[in-house]
Amino acid sequence: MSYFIEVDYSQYFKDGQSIGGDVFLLSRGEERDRIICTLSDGLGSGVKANVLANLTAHMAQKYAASSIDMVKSAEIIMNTLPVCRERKISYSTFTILRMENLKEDKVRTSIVEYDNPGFLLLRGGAYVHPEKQRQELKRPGAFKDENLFHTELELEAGDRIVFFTDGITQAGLGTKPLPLGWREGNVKEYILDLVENRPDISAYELASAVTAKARALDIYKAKDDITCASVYIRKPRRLIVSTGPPIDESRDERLVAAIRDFDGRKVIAGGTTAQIYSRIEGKKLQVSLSDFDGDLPPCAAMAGIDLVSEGMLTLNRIAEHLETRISLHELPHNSAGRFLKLLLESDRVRFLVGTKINDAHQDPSIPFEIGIRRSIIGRIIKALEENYLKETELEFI
Amino acid sequence: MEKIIVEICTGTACFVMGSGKLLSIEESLPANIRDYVEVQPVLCCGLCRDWTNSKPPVVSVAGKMIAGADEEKIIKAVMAALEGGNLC
Ligand code: FES
Repeated sequence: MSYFIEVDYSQYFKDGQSIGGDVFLLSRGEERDRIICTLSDGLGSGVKANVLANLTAHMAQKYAASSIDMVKSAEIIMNTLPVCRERKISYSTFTILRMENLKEDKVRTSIVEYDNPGFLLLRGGAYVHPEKQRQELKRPGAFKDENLFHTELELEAGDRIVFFTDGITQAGLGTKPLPLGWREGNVKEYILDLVENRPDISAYELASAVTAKARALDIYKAKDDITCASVYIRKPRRLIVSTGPPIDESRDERLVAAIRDFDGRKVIAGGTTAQIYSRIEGKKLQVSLSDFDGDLPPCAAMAGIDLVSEGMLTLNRIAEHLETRISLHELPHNSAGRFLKLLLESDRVRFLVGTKINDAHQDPSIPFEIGIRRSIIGRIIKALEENYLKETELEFI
Repeated sequence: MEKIIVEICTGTACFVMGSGKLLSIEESLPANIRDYVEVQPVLCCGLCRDWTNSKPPVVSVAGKMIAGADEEKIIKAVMAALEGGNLC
């Protein structure tokens, strides 16, 4: 079993700044077998802080990808950072997270933290507090005790890690309701509530909910850079999209079996394909106007299939939307919107493309240009991979 | 009294040729016959493949196929079906 690991973050810069002192970097190994991410908060805000944080985060990414011990790397980073002349400190906090062996059913994870609020680990709807190894740094001239915390973990499906900069914990500082800021305890409670209400909330949505709340507490003028990153380990969400009838009828059964036996969500895009499925499986197919907006043909309902849509026009529209990077919040209220939602909520999408030429579309008098199925699907696949980092598979039938 | 069923194809070819607009035909029907008509969207029945005899959009009124359908043709067919049923 190989898990899918969502990693995402959300960020607001300090009000009035166009550049941030919080930097988040993420890299994935080519084989998708390793993920490294770093969240760094540079001293102060603006350009100087950004340089500090960027330096830190980039070094951290490099070291964590090498075979050097994570704690050792953190020390090297600390000793390399330029020293602030006024305060005699080189200062940039960080949280480095490295996840490996993604192909097994446990994800080996190392986390090294320096002076950021501690990471949170959520498992089964509650916080878990793994043991942290403290490592004292003895840098000459350090203005205070410097401690690195190192944690080794094995993560499993459903686990979430959330980490953030102090712009979150200190949000609202000095305001009447929160003179001491939001504080870690409240942040934890807020996140727990979020996950309780929406157990499937994505890494991105969780991080954005936290930053949005923090910014609201700062009365919509962030007093510091606000950044929250979140990791969500889960079983991959799979989707099959079947479009177009097979090249000859002898393959109809195979097509139907491939859809029926697929472990995941299912879309049939195309009336003829849907009718083949309906006939062989003996399932009723009913056109429904509930999401009809006059712009695209309506969807149909069929038991066992999450969405039955028309083919070419809808797919063409889907390709256009994906190419302009539409997000989950902007989806139109029509069949394309429902289709896009299923695509964007999936990690792996399998396209099963029938190669029979549909004679209706060959008529030269149809007054619009209809790309052939293959090329539309090609565009969708490219956009899903490049703009949304989805995994795709393509099979012709 | 059984309703007159107006089936409107929402398949690709018919939709491109304007069947989407026909789905709201009920609103264009005279008030006195609106209640006797039921519009049902349906999937492509394959007729669109034969443009000479069944140019899209394809609509069927009480079982009778209308090729190259538009509002006028549908209303006419509905009226004819109603008369056939001795309604008016
Ligand atoms: S699309 Fe209407 S009959 Fe084929």
